[in-house]
Amino acid sequence: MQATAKMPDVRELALLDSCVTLGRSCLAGVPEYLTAENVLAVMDKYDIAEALVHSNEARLVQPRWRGNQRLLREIEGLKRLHPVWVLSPPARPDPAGARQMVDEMLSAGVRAARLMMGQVPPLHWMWKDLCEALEARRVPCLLDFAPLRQASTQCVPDSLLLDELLEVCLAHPALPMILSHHSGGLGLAAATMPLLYRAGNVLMDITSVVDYWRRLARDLGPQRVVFATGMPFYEPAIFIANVQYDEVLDLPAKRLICGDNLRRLLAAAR
Amino acid sequence: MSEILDNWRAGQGLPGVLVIDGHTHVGEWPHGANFDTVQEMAAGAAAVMDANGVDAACVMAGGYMWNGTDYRLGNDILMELTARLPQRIIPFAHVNPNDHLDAVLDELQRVQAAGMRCIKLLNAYQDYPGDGPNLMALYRFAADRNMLILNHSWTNQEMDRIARQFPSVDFIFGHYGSRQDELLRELPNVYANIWGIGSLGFLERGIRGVGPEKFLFGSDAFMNPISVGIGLVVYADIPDRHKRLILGLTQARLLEKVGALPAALKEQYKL
Repeated sequence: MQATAKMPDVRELALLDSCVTLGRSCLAGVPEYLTAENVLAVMDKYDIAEALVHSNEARLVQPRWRGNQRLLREIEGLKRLHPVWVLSPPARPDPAGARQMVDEMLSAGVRAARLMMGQVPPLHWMWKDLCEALEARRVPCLLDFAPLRQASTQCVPDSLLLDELLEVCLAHPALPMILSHHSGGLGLAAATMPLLYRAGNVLMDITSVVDYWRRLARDLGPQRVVFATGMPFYEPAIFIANVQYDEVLDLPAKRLICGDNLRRLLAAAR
Repeated sequence: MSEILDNWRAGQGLPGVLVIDGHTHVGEWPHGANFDTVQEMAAGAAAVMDANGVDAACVMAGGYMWNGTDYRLGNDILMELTARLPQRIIPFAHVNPNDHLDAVLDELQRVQAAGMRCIKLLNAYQDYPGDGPNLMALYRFAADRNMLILNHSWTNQEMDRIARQFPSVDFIFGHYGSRQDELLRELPNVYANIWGIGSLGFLERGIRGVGPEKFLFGSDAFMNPISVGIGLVVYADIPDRHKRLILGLTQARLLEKVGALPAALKEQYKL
């Protein structure tokens, strides 16, 4: 039937997907992967205007700089794609090294980082140097809790991991941190929403599917939520219209969630 | 070109399309409740359906499906909800097969007397096999009384046995997965609700391999946005006539067969 109220045209919302993995993957159950050659056509099919893209290789294979650098070469000139570097902290205390890592990233035109907290647990004493360097430059960070060797970005960190994360978030209040592809069919860990209510610099994306993101947007504001699909591990069609057709959020709120929040965060990285 | 997709993209919902969500829940879910009272359920469900262009929803009450709870209370809630929205809520009653068989059958008779024609199972969450004796008795009841059955999941072996033993009953997998493809092709009385979080292209691959007639739109609303399931169908690279089947026509046929299709929909869409 006809929708009783006219919703915005999805193209008007200028979707910016915050979680897209590029790279050939050999993964059972995921026969279609995304590369620089096909991703724009896939984005066009699903009305996605822009995307933050990270390297499959950088997530799974050390040293990460190889995958990060390859990503830049592969997407050069593709203005709708914004590179994200996959990072984990240096093993030894090294504030200068962490600052240099962030300098290199920004000099290369990379304005967002994907922090591998599923592979290196979010213990503040391990992440302190890197988070300080990122916070000083206001680099938005996507938090990846997928465990070691898991190809998919989908994850459901447990409450104990989130307890550790809270300390990191509160220690770096000017560092935007996005719970990226935190998604579980039966819901997320009990500490997830409590963490979001307590750490104002933490955002979540809409791949949580269940009504967490809607509750967050309605309770604390649409500036705390960003759009994502998690493709190719998730079918993007699942997420395209969820903000567009929400019956409570107004148009300005929808625009923020669908892309303007992230655009603002990327622009603020210096 | 897809008129259905064009309208959906433009924010108009699905004008002229019968849309029945074949898999929804109201009430409590592991993370919390989506509606607190039956009044809220009715108002909230209607608001979501209106906003998305959904005509009706097949609904199960949440919260009372876990071992240790009284499933009859969930069915009571469902009856109250249906009474408030009789043309838009299609109730799917629930029983826990861990209960005594007599109690299970009593409840089936009770809900059927109250007008329910459809059953939703979740034995996978209840540590009970899909072909256990109490469920085999339930399938027999459904066959004798012409009822429709939706289940969160069966194993392929269970479904193969059950569907052949009860050929007059239509069985619906609650969540589609490619492992079901062979059964969907071979068994005329087996269907799949599309709702599931698969990888890029998963539903299109399934439709190509099985055909559109065996897939039913669903979403696990109202915990999820109902558009999670609509998006899967409208963005699929299939003709509009196939989208119409999946969005509502096939579900309507199955519901009509057991006498559960709301009269208003039959009238409106000339079914």
